Amino acid sequence: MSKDEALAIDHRNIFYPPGGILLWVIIFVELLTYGLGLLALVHYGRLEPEVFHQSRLQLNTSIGTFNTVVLLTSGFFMAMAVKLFREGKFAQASTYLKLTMAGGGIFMVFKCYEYFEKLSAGVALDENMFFTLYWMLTVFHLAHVLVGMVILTYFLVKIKKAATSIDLLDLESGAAFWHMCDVIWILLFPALYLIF
Amino acid sequence: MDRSLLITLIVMIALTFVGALFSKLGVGGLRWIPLAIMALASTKFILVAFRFMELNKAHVFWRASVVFICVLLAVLVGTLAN
Repeated sequence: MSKDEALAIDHRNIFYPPGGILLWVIIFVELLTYGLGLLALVHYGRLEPEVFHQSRLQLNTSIGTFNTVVLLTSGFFMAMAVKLFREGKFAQASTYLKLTMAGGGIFMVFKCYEYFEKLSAGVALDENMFFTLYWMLTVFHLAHVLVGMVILTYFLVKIKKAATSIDLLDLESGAAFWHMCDVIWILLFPALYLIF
Repeated sequence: MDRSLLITLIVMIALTFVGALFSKLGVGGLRWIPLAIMALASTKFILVAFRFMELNKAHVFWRASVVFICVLLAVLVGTLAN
């Protein structure tokens, strides 16, 4: 699909949400999956409130808050990259793509540091139900961020070689995937780090 | 730089810090804190969806579905966490 054709799409049509219908179906499936994980978290939290409170206090809220700000900022850079690409400002769009990826990289480094801290303290998957869900939900989310980084790397390489050959709808889909990582973390962060 | 996107980002960062602050208040056992924290999170969720993902341009079905799922999850998690 050419850029002009992509720009002419009427997103008010139910079959053409921004980013494409397939991506939105994936987003809803992911939200359902993580939603069930969060409901399991609060269910077990009600059964063992003290264990969940003490476990939550073992998490590094400062790193969690910092990582939230980093992901939100990288989402902003991604939105800017799409906007500039639409306007034909490919060099600037490429810069914002790099900034987006830098945000993803920082998030992954701090998350891995947090995992290292936990594992060094002997807090693994089998510690208790809170940490079982903590590891499952956050590692699954980190895997999504990694996939998002691979998608962004593909666009970064392509935008350098032949920017005009990039399908705008593909870039919008890649951006929607990146924002999906954002919104999932927006729900995971308070549920794991703040409310118990 | 897009001014409205930048303002959205600043608002979301502010909401993140307010949420972390609420969590510190919650140590005293205030029952409304988890719901307030999840309400802040759902506001950020909706801002990302409507501003960064441009869902404001989409059909009402997608807009309503995202808001419904987000609010439902926030209310369930925030209420049941008490």
